[in-house]
Amino acid sequence: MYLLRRLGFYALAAFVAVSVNFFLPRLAPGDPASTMFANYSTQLTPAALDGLREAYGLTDDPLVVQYGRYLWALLHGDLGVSLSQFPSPVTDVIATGLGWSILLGVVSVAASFVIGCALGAVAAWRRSGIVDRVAPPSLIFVGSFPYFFLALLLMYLLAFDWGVFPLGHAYDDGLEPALTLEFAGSVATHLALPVFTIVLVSVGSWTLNMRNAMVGVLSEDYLTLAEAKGLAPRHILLRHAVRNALLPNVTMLGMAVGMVFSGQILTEIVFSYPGLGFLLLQAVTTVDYPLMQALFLIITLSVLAANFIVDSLYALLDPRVRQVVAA
Amino acid sequence: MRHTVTRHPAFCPHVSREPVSRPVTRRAFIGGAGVLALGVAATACGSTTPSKTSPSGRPAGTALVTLVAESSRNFTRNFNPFSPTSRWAALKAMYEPLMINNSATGKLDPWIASKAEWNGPTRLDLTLRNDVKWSDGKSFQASDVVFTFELMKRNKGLIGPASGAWEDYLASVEAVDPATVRFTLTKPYSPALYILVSQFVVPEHVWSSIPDPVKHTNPDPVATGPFTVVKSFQPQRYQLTANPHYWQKLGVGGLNIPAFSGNDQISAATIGGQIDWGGLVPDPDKTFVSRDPQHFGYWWPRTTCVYLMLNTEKKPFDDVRVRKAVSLALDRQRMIDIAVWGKSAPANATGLPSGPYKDWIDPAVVQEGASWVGHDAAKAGALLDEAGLKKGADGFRTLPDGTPLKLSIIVPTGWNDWISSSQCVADNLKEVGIRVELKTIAYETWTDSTYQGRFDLTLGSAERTATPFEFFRGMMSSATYKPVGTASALNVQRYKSAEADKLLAEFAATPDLAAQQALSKQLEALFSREAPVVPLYEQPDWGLYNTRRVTGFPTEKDPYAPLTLQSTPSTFLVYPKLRSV
Repeated sequence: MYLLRRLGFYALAAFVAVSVNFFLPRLAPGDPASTMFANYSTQLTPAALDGLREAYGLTDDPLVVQYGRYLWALLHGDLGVSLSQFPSPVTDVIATGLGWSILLGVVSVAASFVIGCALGAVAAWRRSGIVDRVAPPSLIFVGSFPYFFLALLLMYLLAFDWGVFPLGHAYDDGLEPALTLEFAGSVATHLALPVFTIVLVSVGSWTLNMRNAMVGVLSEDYLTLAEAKGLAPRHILLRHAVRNALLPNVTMLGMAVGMVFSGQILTEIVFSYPGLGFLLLQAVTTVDYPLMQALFLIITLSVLAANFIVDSLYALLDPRVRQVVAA
Repeated sequence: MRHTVTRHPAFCPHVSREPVSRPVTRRAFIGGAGVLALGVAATACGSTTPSKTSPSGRPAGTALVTLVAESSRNFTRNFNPFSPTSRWAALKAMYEPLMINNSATGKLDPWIASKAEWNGPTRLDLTLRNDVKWSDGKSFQASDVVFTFELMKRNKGLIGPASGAWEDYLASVEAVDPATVRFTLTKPYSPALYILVSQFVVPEHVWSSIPDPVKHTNPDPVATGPFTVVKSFQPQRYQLTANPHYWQKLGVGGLNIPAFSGNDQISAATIGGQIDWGGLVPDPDKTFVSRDPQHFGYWWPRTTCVYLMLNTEKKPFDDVRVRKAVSLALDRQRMIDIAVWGKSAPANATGLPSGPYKDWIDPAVVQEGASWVGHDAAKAGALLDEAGLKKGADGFRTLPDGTPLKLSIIVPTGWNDWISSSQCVADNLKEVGIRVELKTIAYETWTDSTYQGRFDLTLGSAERTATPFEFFRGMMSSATYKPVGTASALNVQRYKSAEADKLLAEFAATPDLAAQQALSKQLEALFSREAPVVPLYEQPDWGLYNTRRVTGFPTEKDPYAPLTLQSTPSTFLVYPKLRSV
């Protein structure tokens, strides 16, 4: 029941988002025709321009009519043709980066979440211990660097100068994608440095949040009781303290997953990683409406999906949620 | 109706083609002050760091040449030569033009057409090579050329060097025999020769069955060029191997074209020795050549100029005295030292680059015109006073009616040599009391603003063409003039002159070289008198090479073709000369 109601809410949110996706890009300054000029340069004669406008599907119809057409096409799963990569369909353009973005996003978010929560938990458990004194401040310090600078610096040192990691791309240029150990290894080594930079800047906030939540939980009466009952410290830490302190971070996790595509733009640029973030930037600068719409759609849907999963997880982690809704 | 193929992939952050033959590396200088560049400078004098890339490991003659051709990320498979968003290789390694205008030698090199000949003022006959085959083994014939032109006539959305020829001057194209093509013009128009022979050709037996050629992505191209087999296509790189039926011998196996997301990434790969041809480094002597002087080299011939475009539709630039005053205020040598590491020379008063047009430039115009393309701030101030732009109480000049003069100069983000030059322009103009603000804007916005004439000042360059005809046509003719708000890629400064129109018409009407050169000299004198734009310095064509794996690149000592990967289809001239090490 709880989940069903949430689903209804998500359907409405999705519709609103789809509509905003259509209108927002068109309210921004710029005109797809400028992309055409930039692309075609001096060879564009008036006759050629008209021919292209027609091919591109650019019309002067009222916005409402275009909106109707867009919704209709969307219902049929038709995302249209990219203007900046004309005549490739938007789905083809997105297919070039979707998988890599998901891989990079999931691995880096999972890594920073796990590491951050673990560090935070340990820091709070051993208050004023070495981890507590060193980890949060130093991680926050590193995290406050401009990401672009930090990533370039690491790339310069680790990839360019020392050659520990490859300079860019998702796998070795000499390989063809295949289900082999060699290819998987190549993917892993190419993934390591981008993930490391993301973890480095984002782990601090996870750590701090987890530590603070833990400190709160640890002062609760039921933990004193658990201790008095003589439960093993490890058991208390994992089953009672961490599980409760994790809740706020799980909410954050939903948001972090949603931000994966938009937040990874810089990483993907610095490491020439073939993901979607860069495509988004490209779509915006070239006023590529269909590509923008499709990417926004993916971002919206992923935020909604992530939140839905978090909502569901919440119900699992925290019995109170289930009870409140049932009441 | 353009002559050269000027569709270039541009650099980060998107795929686009650059206007008027801008070299691709144009936008590549973002990284100048970046972390990498600093690090590179610091280590440049040290030992030559061994390259992390392994040698090709392939038998000789089959090496893939790694190019920095397009920085586009996430390649999509589009090899349609008529499409503006096609992969770089479509026009630079697959579909060959009939003949190639070689900007390094200033000659028209025969290619799949061996001879072009005027038979009367409106009849151009083209003889084709008889040993050229399509990559599927079928013979290349005159009917393919006819088909290509007819296809472009039927589909206006197909873009090529000869787009617009049908509207302007072309009456018919016919195959006289399998090796002869006859073009008939509607009027005498000698520049047509260079435009028509620059057109690439597609095979009739393939394209005649394609329902909508404008929307075709042509994933498996059939062409006459050297590298037509798509061996592997990934979003992060694609590889092409040799056309088994190519009509020349090849000493390399194919091309490997990786995607890069930005200038720093390209610099790192270039300096690291991973790139064989092309790439990008700031100040190459220090950062690049010193790392491996035996193998790393560059050649930057200068085949066009950088111009300061003043919007002549706007006050005060409608006054030639103001345009010349602006020119006199500029310190060109400082611009060259800062923007292109001293690797250029100031432009002369004809507006033409001295290298490719040495037979066309009138020394008398150059000498006389030195009076307005030199650096003389005092004279500039006097001219501005004379034009009525008096200095106000704050030391800045106003228009004759007293309105304060506040101008801006726009350049695309990331085109660092142009940004540096524009900064010099702004500094110099401030010294003579003109307030100019430098604005860097997204490439598309810049294109839109300049083409529509919505700007005060910007920088520009010119097409690289066989004769100066196109240059003067683009700078001064009413044929390229469009009112503000109507887009035009040429004549963004919006200048027209009846005298120029007359001289250009005479030029177009005669195929005689001596007569054309005499007319060019008159056009040069007119340019120097009117200053429709302000010539700044000659634009180097960025070109880098690395001979660890591949040799045979054109150099200053062996200038058989341009080294740049971006201007016109001159790469075709280079491929047959490359050899695997």
